[in-house]
Amino acid sequence: MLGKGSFGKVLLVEKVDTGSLYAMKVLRKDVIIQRKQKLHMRAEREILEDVDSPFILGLHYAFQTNDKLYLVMDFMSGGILKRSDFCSDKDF
Amino acid sequence: MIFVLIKIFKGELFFHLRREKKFLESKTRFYAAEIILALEYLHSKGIIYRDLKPENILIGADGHIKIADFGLSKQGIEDGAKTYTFCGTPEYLAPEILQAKGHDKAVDYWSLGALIYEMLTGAPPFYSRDKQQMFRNILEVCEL
Repeated sequence: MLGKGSFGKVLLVEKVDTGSLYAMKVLRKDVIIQRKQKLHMRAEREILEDVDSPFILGLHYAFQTNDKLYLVMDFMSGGILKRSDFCSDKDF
Repeated sequence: MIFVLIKIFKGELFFHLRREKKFLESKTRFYAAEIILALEYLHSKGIIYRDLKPENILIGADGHIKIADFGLSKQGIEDGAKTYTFCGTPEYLAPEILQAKGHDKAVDYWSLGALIYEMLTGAPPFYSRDKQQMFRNILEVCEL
């Protein structure tokens, strides 16, 4: 597991036929709906599909099951710049 | 299309800025330049990012950065158009977002400024443990 957010987790996965590594974001639909984040999620999905830049995390595949959304994105092995000290759930 | 979960991931999430405390100017300039390229690209497509913060800057094996997490981005913003939703992470929030006066793509450059400050000094500007105080710190700047 690479990380855990408020809506789910990010897993390191390998595509079987190519051996390529990706970060797979798994989001729980019930949590998204409960937190009224449906529009945000849709926006994220649409924007990621629309953009193509070497400086923006690429979305390779997206699929869903009854209760979860799956976004298969670039795997960045170098980590992040910093985790914030201040954990806000953005609901202020 | 089949994916397998890799159970053992030996690498560790690296918090670069946490580990190094602060960056040299040359490194800060490099990251800032790549972030600007990402922002310019998004703005050219009418997208305001609105969530620029160190957690959303991912670093690849090659040392280049990519920005992630578009849950707060606003689409369909042309030059001059303003949007009114209130969101973002407190440390990097632009005053016009706090004042709910309407904001445009300039808020991304405010956040970039805050991020550059943090890369150079190790802490975000206007920071306070007290969220309300942090808001006041940010708003005071506008009154100068």
